[in-house]
Amino acid sequence: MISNTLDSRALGFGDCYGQRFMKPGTYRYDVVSAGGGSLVTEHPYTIEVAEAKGEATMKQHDVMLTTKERRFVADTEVLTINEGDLVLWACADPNAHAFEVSGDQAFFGNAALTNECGYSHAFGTPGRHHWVDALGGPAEGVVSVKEVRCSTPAELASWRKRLSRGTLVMINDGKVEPAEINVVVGQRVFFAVVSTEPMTITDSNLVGACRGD
Amino acid sequence: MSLTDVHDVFAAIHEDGLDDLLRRFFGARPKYLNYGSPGFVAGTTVNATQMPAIQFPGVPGGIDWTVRIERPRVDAHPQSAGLPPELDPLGPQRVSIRTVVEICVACTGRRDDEPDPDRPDDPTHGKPHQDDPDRPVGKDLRPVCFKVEVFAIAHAERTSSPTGDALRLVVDAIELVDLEPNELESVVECLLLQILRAVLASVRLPLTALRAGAFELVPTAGPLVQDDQIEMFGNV
Amino acid sequence: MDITAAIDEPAADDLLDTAIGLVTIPPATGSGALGPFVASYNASGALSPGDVDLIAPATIRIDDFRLDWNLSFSFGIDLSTFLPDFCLPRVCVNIPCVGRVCTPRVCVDWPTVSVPVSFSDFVEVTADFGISITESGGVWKVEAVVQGVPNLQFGATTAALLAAISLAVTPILLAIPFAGPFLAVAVNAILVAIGIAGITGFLGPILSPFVSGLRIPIYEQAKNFEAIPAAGATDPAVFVTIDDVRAEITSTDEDELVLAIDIS
Repeated sequence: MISNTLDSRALGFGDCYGQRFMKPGTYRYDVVSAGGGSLVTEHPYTIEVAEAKGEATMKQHDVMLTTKERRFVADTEVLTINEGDLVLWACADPNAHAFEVSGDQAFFGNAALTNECGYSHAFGTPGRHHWVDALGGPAEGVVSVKEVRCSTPAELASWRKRLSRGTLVMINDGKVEPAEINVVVGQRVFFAVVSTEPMTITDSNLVGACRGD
Repeated sequence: MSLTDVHDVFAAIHEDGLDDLLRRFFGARPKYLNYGSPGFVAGTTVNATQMPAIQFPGVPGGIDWTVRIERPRVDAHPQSAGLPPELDPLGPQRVSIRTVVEICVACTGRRDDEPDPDRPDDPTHGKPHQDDPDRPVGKDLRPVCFKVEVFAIAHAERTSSPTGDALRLVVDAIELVDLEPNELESVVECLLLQILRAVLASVRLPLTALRAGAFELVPTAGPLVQDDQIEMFGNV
Repeated sequence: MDITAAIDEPAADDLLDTAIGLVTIPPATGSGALGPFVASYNASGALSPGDVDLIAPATIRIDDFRLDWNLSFSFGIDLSTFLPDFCLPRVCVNIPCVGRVCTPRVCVDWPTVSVPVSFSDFVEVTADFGISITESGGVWKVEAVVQGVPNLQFGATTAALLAAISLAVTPILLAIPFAGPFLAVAVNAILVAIGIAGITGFLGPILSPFVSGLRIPIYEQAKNFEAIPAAGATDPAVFVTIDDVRAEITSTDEDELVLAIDIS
C-alpha cells in the first residue's frame, strides 16, 4: 500500500526523509508517530558525523525502519558517517502508521524542513495535487499525476520503466524549481531543500482550513 | 625629396587635370563664356549671361553686342605649349592660357519696321534667327563679328568659395595675334584683358576639387605652379 | 595621373586614428566550445587607435591598436558530472499468493543548469594592413585591409574570465540541493575542465574575426564626383568622372601615403 497523503510532516510507507549532515558532531534522534516529535524526550539513535578528509564526495546511507510493538525501530542504532553525507530514512512496514524523524537539533527532523534535506513521496492517485507550506511560507507547487494503462505486459514494462525515474524538485529560499511537474501514477518525486525558513510540503487540501483559504 | 616636404598634406592637379576640370566647369556653366546684350541674349540662363546694351544717344535700345569665348586651354610651368614672342618663355609660377574670342555687334542701319531695300522679300525679317533661336524675335540684328586668338599669362591665387578655400587664375598679361593696326590691337587687348580677367575671376575651383576629395587640407603654403601642375600644401 | 594627394606618416596616423574609431564591428552570435562545454554567445567589439607605420610599397602597420570586447555567453552544466547520484531506498511488501514485491530502485537525475556569464576586456593587436582599391556601385574606395589573421594574445584575460565564470557558477550551484561543501569541488572541477586552453580556444574564434575582417577606410568618393556644388538656378553642380585611383606608400626622406587619381 502506498500512502496517498502528501505531507512531509507525516511519512508513510514508501515515503523518505533525507538529511545531510554538514558539520562534524554527534546527532541524536528518535522515530515516533507523526506529530509526536514535540513530545520526544529521549533520542535512542545516533548519527556520528566525522570530519571529511580531503575532497570526499557525498555518500548516501539508508536507515530502514520497522515497527515493533507499535514503536518504530531503526536498523542501525549508531550510524557513523562523514561530514556532508546524506542519510535517508524509509519505513519497510506497509502496515505502519505515519511517522516522524525527530532530532535533537532544530534542523534535524522532517516536521520542518530547513537545510540540505529532502522528502520523497510516491503519488498513487491520479489528478492535480497542489502543495503548499503548512507553516505559511511562500513555497508551493503542483504535481499533476497521470493515470496509466497496464493491461498488457508492454504497458506494464513501460510503466515500471517510468517508475524507475525519480523527479527532482529543488527548493531554495522559498523558490521552487520546477514549480509544476507531470508524473504518472506510482512515480516518486524527491523534494530537495537547499536552504529555507522551516517549511513543509503539504497537500493544500490539508491546510486550507488552517490558512483560512 | 618627399611630396609633403615640411607639411602634413600635399595636393596637386596636373595641367591635364586642370584642363579636364575647366572643360567640365564651362560645359556645365557655359554662361561664363557667353555674354550678350538683350538683342542677343533674351535673359541670363545657364547658357549665357545677359548684359546691358551699349547706350548711345540716337540709338534706340542701345547697341547690341555679344562676346563668346572658347574654353580656355592651360599650360603650367614648365612651358609645353607655344606662346607669341611677347609672352615667351613662360616664367616660373606661371600658367599660360590660350583661347579664341568672338566679338559681335549688331549693325542695324534702319528702323525696325522698315524693309531692307536690298532684300525686300527677306523671309528672315521678323522671324527667329535659324542659327540662334535664343535671339529675340522681331529684330534683325545683322551681327558683324570677328574672332581673335588670345594668349594670356596668369598666376594662381588662393581665394574663397561658398564651399571653403578655392583656387583661381589671375591674368597678368595678354597678347593678340595678327591684329592691325597696333593701336587697334592695344585697344582690343585692353578690352579682352579686362574681360578675360573678369571671366577667370568668377571661376573658383574648390581645393576639394583639386584633390578629388582626398584627405583634409588646411592650407599652409601654395598654390605653387611647378612641374606642370598646381600644388598646395597644408596640415590636417 | 591628373591629381596627386599625399600625407606623411604623422598625418596618416591622425587619419587612421579617426577612421579606426569610426569602424563599426557588427556583433557576433553563435556557439563555441568552452572546454568540454558548449556555450552560446553574443559578442561585440570596438576599436581604439594605435600607432601607424607606413612601409613602402604598400603596407600600413598599426601597432597596439585596441579591441575592446564585450561577451555574454551561457553554457550548460550537467550536474551529474559533478554531483553524486542518490537513489531512494527500495521498500518491499509481501503480497499473499504473489510474493515479495518491491518498489523499483529510483535514482534521481541531476538537472543540467545554465550558467550565464558576462565579461568585458580588451586585447592589444599589432597588424599589417594592405591597401585595397575597389570601384563598385559607382563608388571608389581605398581601404586598409588587415593581412592574415592576427594572433590575439589574451594574457591576463584568461585568468580573469575563469574568475568570472567561477563567480557566475557559484550562486547557481548554491541553489542546487546537496551541492553543499562540494560546491568548491564542483566549481574547481568546472574551471579545471575549461582551463586556460578552453578560454583561449573559446575566445579566439569569436574575437579573431573582429580583427581579421577589418577594413579601415582611407578614401571614398563617388565615381561621378561633384567637384563644385550648385550655386543657384543658373549655376548647376559641376561633376567630374574619377576614372582611376591608385595608392602606394613611398619612402624618400620620409614615408608617405600617396593617392593618384585620374579624372575626365
